[in-house]
Amino acid sequence: MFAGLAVWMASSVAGALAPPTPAGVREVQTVLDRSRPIVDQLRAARRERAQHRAAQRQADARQDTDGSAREANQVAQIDRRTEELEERLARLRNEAIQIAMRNWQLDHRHCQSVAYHPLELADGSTSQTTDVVIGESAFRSPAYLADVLYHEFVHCDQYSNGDFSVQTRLPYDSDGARQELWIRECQAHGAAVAHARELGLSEADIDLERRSVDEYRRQLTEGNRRWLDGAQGSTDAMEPNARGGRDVVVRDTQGREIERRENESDFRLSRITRTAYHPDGRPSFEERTTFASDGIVTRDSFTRDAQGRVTEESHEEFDALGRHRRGVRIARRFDGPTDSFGSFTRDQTWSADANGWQDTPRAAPPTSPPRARVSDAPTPPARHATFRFGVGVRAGVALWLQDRIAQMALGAHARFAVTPDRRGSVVLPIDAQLGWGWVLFAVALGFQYEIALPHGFALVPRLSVGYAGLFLDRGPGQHAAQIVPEAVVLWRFAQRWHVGLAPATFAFLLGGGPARVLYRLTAAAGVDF
Amino acid sequence: MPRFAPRHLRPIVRAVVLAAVALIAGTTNTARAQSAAPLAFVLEATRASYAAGGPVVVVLRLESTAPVTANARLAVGAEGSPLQEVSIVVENAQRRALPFRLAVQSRPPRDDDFTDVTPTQPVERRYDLARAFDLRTPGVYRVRATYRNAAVGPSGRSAFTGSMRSSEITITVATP
Repeated sequence: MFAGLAVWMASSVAGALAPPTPAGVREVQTVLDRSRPIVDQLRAARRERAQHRAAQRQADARQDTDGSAREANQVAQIDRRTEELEERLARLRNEAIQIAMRNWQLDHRHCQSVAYHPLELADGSTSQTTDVVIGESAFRSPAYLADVLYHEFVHCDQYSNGDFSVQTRLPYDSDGARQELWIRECQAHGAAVAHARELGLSEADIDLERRSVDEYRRQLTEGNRRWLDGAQGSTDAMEPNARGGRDVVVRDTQGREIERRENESDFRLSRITRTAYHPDGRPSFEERTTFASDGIVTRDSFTRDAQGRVTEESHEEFDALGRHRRGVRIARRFDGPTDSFGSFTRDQTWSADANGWQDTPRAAPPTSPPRARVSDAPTPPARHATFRFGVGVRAGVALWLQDRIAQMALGAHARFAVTPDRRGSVVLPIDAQLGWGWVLFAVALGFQYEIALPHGFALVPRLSVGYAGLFLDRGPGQHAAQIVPEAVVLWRFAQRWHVGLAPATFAFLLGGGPARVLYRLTAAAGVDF
Repeated sequence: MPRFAPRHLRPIVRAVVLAAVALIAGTTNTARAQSAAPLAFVLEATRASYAAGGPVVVVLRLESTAPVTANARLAVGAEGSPLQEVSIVVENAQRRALPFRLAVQSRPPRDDDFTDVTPTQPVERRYDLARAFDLRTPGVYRVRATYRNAAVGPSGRSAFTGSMRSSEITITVATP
């Protein structure tokens, strides 16, 4: 699977490559051939050393002091022999590197140094100071050595262009810098594929390069993959900017700007903006990384669907040492039919601080989204009940409408949210009305639904049915069923607290005598959890 | 996090879920380790103390109590890199991980990268930590490494696939 190969062909990358003459290839091969006996001796010595070390460890485990000392002596002898072999090999390896650079005309002007290193276990590596190190495994063939060198020189070129500027400020193992690194690896391996003929790579080597691109590409986020694909066949150029500096502007084959590295007048990189496009030309991914003079790095990214809606956005901030300071990521899913920039139906938000990412926001986004439409912003949360449980008390007056008797009304209730938005709740109200020589006690079960109003207010219609009992000091009491429609106006504060007024509570008492109607006017207070 | 959990219970639910995931993952790793139980990945310091600013060479070793085919390339790269077998974490005295500073070049392993590791023939590679990490500040550092191989190996030889973590070692970097 190699559909998404992005080939980095910017003309400035590692300069021009010249296919070497057969004599040039032979010259490198000759040096490699001279190295072979030393390599064989070294391999044998290392094998022997590993065996003696294993024997020494076993002797140590047996507490065989003499045996351990004997093996340690053998190891020391081998180390002395190996040291001399490694020095001879290093001279030949460096000679091969120099000849390959000359015969392939590899442009290494942006590299601080290029040298063989016996302890480099990979083909090669480039440090942030553009010191290139070539490992033993690079010397498989002259063409492969040229390929490995060319790869590292692409990295040096990327550093000098500012491509790696994100990384020089962030550790490679931070989340964002890893993506940056994988992109640059894709480009370096892709460049080798593009120049396979000049490098003289075998089909097997080309296949390995392609698989390498594929492996790194698989690690990329969807947005970065799209950006990388857009960079295929791109060119870059310096363009003057308004601040007296010059920006590096990378354009795709259709002339669209896919990356802009903005420089201050002293060529200090201040911002990198990247854009990827949908086939119809609309932006599909935008990312802006800003480098402040105090070392703070902020990165804002937006992924848009084909209709231009922001489906994912992130805002992150790193300190001068590359440590993640804070950030927020928002993912949106548009499930149903919506208008062009309509509301989203589901969303998920993560936020981060120095301790890592959380699934609920703990900090505001560090920067406001560039070019964000008002309709793109998440809907501010309504201040309706978002807690599952709630309890409340209330007190006021109760009027027997037919008898024109007033009493003190006291009540309490508990609620349990049952709808997904937690606005609808099953409610259990308990009320008491106190009179001289008698008391009315009522308990019911009902349902309420909270309608959010502006400024933290909410209207709560509630309907409950239950039992009401009239208990007298003297004589038998009466028992009745009650139906209680009511409306409560609440004002919520400090997230979980509320106070309110129930201006319209009517209790219809049925049975146990003639039907009666009670009106209550109460003030309420409560808390959710 | 599941939406049904009350907000104040979410840390508890999260801990339970993570514990369950860790348990499942641990069971899986154990199973893998059983299939390749003889193989072990060892990290070893070569000196009691290293001079600040100089090379800090450690030994990476694959050893086994029975013959096992393994990818013995042991290329060291940034954590999460798909094409390097070994990632190393170096923590300073404040237990803060030092950044890995190299862009490492390697390709998918070739057939000759695989070898048989036997009790008498372990695979040893030396690696200079000072190239990849800034160890110029004298102090005590904790180092651990992870070996990971996903390549199945040359045809006819079933290589160890999976990951192994070395035990942690402590190295001392002193003023020269």
